[in-house]
Amino acid sequence: MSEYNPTLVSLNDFLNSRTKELKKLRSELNTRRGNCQLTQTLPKHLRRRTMSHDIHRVPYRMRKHIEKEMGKNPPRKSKLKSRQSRRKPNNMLKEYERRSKKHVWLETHIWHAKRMHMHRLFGYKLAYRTNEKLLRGCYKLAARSSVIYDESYYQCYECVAKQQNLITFFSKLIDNQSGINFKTIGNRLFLRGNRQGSSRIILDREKKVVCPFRFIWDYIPFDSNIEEYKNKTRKIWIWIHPACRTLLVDLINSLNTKNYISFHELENQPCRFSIIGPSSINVLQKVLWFDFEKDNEKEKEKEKEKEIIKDNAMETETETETETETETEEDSALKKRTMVWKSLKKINKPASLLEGCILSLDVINPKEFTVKRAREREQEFQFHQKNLTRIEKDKYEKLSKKIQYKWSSEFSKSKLWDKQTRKKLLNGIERTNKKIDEEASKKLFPNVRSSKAYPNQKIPVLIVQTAGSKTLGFGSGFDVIIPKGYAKQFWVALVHSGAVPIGMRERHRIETETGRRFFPDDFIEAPSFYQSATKLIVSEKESQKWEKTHKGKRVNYKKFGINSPFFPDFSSLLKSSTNHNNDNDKDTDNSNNNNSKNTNQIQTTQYTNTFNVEFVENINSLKTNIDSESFIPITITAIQKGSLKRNAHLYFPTKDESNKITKKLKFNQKWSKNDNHCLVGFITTGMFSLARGCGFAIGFIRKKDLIKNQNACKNSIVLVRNTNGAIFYPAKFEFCKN
Amino acid sequence: MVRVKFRYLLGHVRWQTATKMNSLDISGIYHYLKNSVKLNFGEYAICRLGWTLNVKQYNPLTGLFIVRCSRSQMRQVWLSLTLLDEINSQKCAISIIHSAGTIRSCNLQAIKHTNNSLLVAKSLIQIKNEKQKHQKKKKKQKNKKLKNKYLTNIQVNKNKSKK
Repeated sequence: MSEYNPTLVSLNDFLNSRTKELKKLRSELNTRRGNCQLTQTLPKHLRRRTMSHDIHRVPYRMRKHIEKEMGKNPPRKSKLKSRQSRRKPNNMLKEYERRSKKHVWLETHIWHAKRMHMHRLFGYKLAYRTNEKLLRGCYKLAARSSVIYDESYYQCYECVAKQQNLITFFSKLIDNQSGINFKTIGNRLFLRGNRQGSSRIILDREKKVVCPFRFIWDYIPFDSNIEEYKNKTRKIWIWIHPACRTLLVDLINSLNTKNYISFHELENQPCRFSIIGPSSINVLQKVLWFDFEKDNEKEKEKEKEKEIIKDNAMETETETETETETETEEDSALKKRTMVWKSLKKINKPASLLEGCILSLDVINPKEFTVKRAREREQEFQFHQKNLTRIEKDKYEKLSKKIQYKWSSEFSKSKLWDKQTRKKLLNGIERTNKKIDEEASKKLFPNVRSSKAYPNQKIPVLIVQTAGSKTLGFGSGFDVIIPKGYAKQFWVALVHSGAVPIGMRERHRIETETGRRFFPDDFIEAPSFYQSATKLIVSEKESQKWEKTHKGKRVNYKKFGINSPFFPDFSSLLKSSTNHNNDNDKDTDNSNNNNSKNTNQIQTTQYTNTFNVEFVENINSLKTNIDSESFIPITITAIQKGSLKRNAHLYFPTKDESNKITKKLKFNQKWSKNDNHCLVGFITTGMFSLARGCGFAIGFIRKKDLIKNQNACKNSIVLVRNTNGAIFYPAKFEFCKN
Repeated sequence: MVRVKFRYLLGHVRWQTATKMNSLDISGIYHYLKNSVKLNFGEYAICRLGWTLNVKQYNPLTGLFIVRCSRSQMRQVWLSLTLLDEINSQKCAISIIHSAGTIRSCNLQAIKHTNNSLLVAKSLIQIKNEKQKHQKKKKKQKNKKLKNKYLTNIQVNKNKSKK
């Protein structure tokens, strides 16, 4: 190795090369760089987390160097304040308002958001389902106790004009086929303002768009003559679903060119809760409290006097006359309301009242007292009956009979119709809440209910009866209309008193149990069919899940001949030709021509069409005009076992099969490719009905097929095939009335 | 996740003949290194090294270089470096000065190494200078003596003439 030592060395080269190397090495040592930032060259005890975006955390001597580095990729300038200031209550409210502009929040949104799954529907953020499992349990609650649902996303519109003008205007718009019990707006039942009516509006004649709505007339005293009010200005309030809101407004503005009617959205819209179930009466009586104990004492005294003075009949008459003169209108109104309120205790279910009857009350803010839990209807009923005297029992029986057969309009007179009262109530909320809290803090036992200790402010509230199914008596209840700003207080009180809150999914379930169609999931005649919860939430989830699963482990819909398994495709029925035999194969071939490569791909069309819907009483009353394409809504109940599911296919049976079914013989039929059954319709909502104890569904049949197969329809039997199988389930169908 | 750990080897190349090998590059050293590993340990060793073998720095004037390899294969690379005889048909000898886990410590050792070599050179230069000084001194002293002798001879002659 010593050979390789150099013998001669030029000093200059030697020294120069080494000095250069030394310089370079020392410079490298001084700078701790490589693939690290300037901030990482600092020792660990001087490094700070926020140095990357906040220069003030960097030592002063390095700031200039770091600014140059930052100049290439400057940090995002966040206009956010500190987290502490952002989470103060004032700021939180502002953020809520900002967020609620995109998708409108209801007043009870925050309460719902903590306990339910919220979804964006119809421009609102609505509660779709509870966090608990309540799909089957909601039936039990609605049948025995009570259930509450927030319906304040329904928009309220006000029409002001002369009575006759209003009637003629709306008579053009209303659908003549709005059910078997067809009633116009001008019907005598509704004109006095004592009952709520419901009907259907044609929003577009060409595209056949129809939408249901509810209406209430203004108050007229029961003594007066209706004909006197023909040329007087009156008001109507209309409640309509938000999906059809824009269509309604455009329609009426286009027709109202000469300002025939003043049509506008209600300012400070009231909220609407629907309480369903027999113990809704108890719940309301615990929450809606007004000063009637004073009258109660007076009445008791009067009764005693009357009993004593009964023998002297003349004297009693004179006394009663004098008493009626001294009474004011308010006292008389109070008396009547107390009478009604007490007589409600005698009534077992809200279904025994007249359909759509309205009660107005001036009620104390429920925030001022603690609400106790209400017992179930049966217990309350028995307890109440034990403590009554004979006189009182007879009295209540008379009163209850009065109410059930006759509902005077004096019960429905309220201050909610005034614009100014609604404004005052809204403006006075903050003051009242503050006052209540202040007073409660001073008391020893706050929030104890007593008639003497309350302020004079009273909140006008409307209670509207809703009817359930007429055969089962299930699903009846009350709608409570509350002025804006007080929704949360009433909601919390109602929930504490025993009404179980539910979401849209459970409400849909209860509505189908009654046998009625739920808007918008069961209404083909409106474009909101494609914006409904079943389309946006349920069917999308199912389709995504199906696509994720392995081919060998998921249902092969193509093999079963099902084109659109997740959402019913009614337009495919219209496209099919008169030859119904082997129609399914043709449809599949036509649809899959575009997607010939991907054999497993299922057709997904863009749905925008609406379809014509007709109502039918009997098969005999069917009109033989086959030119118009329309669908008929039906309710289906399974004969044998089997739960009927959503989007199932409907077929008509052959003669032999229908004979088998009527004779209750075994029926085992399966679908195959060469099947001769003709596709007739689809099911939009299906489930196992707990009220009936069998499968139940709501669907649509094509009118043409009904007319052709009238022989098969004599027994009103239909075959149902779910999307996940090939088995035919026999079922009976009936025509829907609403 | 376990980290991949490396070793950095600081080495020094000495040439038999004092030629300027400026044409030699990092890639050239890598090429010859790989061949020597293959020669001495076979293809299995190369496969085990894989992408971890890398020449990081090389100074053609001084002959210092830094090679990176995986920690488990350090000894084999060291050996193959020392057994490297020829580069670019020029005979050479490689000696490894330091092995470390970071380049930084290798650079530190490189600084020490150069300092040492500079010190040696410095000391040699000092010795040379001192010799020269010493020689100069002697000359001066000689000249002085001669001068003094010359001057003294002149004075003696003057004194004699006066007498």
